[in-house]
Amino acid sequence: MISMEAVETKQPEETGEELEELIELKGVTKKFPYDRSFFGYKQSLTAVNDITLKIYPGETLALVGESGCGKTTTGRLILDLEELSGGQITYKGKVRDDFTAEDWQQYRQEVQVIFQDSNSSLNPRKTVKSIIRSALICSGLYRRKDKEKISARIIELLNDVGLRPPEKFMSKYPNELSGGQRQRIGIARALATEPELVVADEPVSALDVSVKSQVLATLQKLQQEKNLAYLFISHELTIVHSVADRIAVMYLGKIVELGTNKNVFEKAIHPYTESLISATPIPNPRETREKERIILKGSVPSPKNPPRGCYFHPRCFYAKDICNEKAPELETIFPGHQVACHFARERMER
Amino acid sequence: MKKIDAYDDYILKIKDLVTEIKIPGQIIKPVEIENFLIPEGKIVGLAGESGSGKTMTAYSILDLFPTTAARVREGQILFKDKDLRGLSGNSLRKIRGQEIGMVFQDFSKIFNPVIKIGKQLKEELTAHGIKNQQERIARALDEVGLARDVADRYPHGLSGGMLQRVGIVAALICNPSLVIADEPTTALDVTIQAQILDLLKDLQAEKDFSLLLITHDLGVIADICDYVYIMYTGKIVEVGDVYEIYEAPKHPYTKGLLKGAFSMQGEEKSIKRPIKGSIPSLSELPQGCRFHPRCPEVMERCREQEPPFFNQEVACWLYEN
Repeated sequence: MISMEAVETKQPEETGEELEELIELKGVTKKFPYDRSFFGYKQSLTAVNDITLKIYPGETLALVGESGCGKTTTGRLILDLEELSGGQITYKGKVRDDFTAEDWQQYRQEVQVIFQDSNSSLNPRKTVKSIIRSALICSGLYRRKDKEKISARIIELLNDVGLRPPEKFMSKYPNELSGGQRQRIGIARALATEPELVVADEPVSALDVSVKSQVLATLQKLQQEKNLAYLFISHELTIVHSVADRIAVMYLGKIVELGTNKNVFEKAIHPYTESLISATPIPNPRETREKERIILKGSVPSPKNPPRGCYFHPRCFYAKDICNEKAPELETIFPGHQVACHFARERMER
Repeated sequence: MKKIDAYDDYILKIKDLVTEIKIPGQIIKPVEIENFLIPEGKIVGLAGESGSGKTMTAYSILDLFPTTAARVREGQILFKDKDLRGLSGNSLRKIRGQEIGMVFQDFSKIFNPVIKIGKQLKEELTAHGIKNQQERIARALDEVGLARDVADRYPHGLSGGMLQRVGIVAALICNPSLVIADEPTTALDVTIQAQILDLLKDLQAEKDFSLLLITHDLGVIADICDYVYIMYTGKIVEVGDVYEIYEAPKHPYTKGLLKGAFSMQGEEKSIKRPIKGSIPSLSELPQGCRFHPRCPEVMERCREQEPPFFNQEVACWLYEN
């Protein structure tokens, strides 16, 4: 069995010592076949390309990037909704390949998901109560006949996610709720199994500004109370800045920069991170008009036919000859900060 | 900057506009605007949460409602001092596209997927009786930074950013004097959004058309607009020039929106205090000021009486004098 002892929630940078990670991805790769012929698939594209990262207990790791960069696929690989094409995932010190049936049961209970579109991820023909009840029963934490215990737990969960009074919501159907309320049901369902890691895939992208901050505040409160780790997948840098402890920036299936929230925003080293931050408009007319904008040329290339060398070089304002020839490795530039760029050290001294 | 009501020439003036939609057993009013102005050659933003009536305002101007259940019930829509409501279908069709261009959020649903881009643009030019079509299309594609061979391609062969550029071509090819852009960058990635905003800004400066930019993204408005209207449940609650609104907002709703906006500034991993509650449904609007149940500065009066528009700036009882 996997050890169940509680782990301290401090960030590695704060303590300076190595913390035990909750989950580790090593060289994780996902290829999707396409171009089907009579003899099978002829080609494949690499959606997630050799990703290595760790998530520690109680932290929020944000995964950012433009559409098609492999953020969601990475989340689905962690959730075992997609099969790995390469690499391995280690959870609480045990490699997933060696999992027994019991380990898988525990893994599925402790690793949960919040989807972006609460409209399509909640069954429209089930009431809130029965949606959460099935999560409780499937997780193996409750037995079907413990009706009273289940009801009490559902009320507790609805309270936790800020749906008050909970009794009012028990018998509602998803279509009777607003977008923000539906997303809270999605959160309650994820929490029902007492998870330790929640993959939140664009959990607030479909919501309005004021509702967004309400739902994010709830997520943050729950994290503190229950020591949850989040893998927060988002394309909005502004939101990532207000929720993340650490940030991983992805481009065309690869991680190009990984560091603490502060470091990524204050001294982005990779040219892609820098241009993402500079392209994001901020709600202040004077500052947004005065700040220097890096406008990238073109758009993200197709993963079916990625460029030679560094995948970012055709759009990069810093590209030199070497970028066309050799792909840069993700290197540690200073403790806790990794960058995949040939000129990382040079750019750090800017 | 001048106040928005201090100009001589307006490309568009809306007065006492009421739009209604029939839903079973009830009629709701998604737009109730007393006064809405777009000065000539300026970029005016219209901001608000979803369900506030931004898009319905655009549809009302062009009578482009997606359903017959919606119609403009009363009011004036003066485009170049001519009331668009009094026009016949034919004369309105001449104005749409030729004098008022429209940029939509998602062009993958707007263009016909089985007709080449070039042919669809030609259709538009033919409808407005414009000659020299080849040359005009080629020039317009150059202007937005697309290769000329895009005209020979189908919409599905283009990326989102390219398609949005083609959409801008379609909106601008007849040289309109007003362009309405409804969430033009919402479906795009941030690096592409920056390209499109830059393009819109440059084209506007070059051709000097007026632009109505509808968006929920306060960052986009801050980036390119001259003036901003803030909308809530179908009503304008505040208007002003962009610096004034962002630096000294008056209406508690505007204040809340800006305070809760995500800006990448300030402390990491902290969420600012949002406005409580959410936007009410149009069929269950509160009494008095429509914002009062969510307002942190609510007074007795707000619960009973709806505030008028004070000083041509803000609809809130706090600014009565």
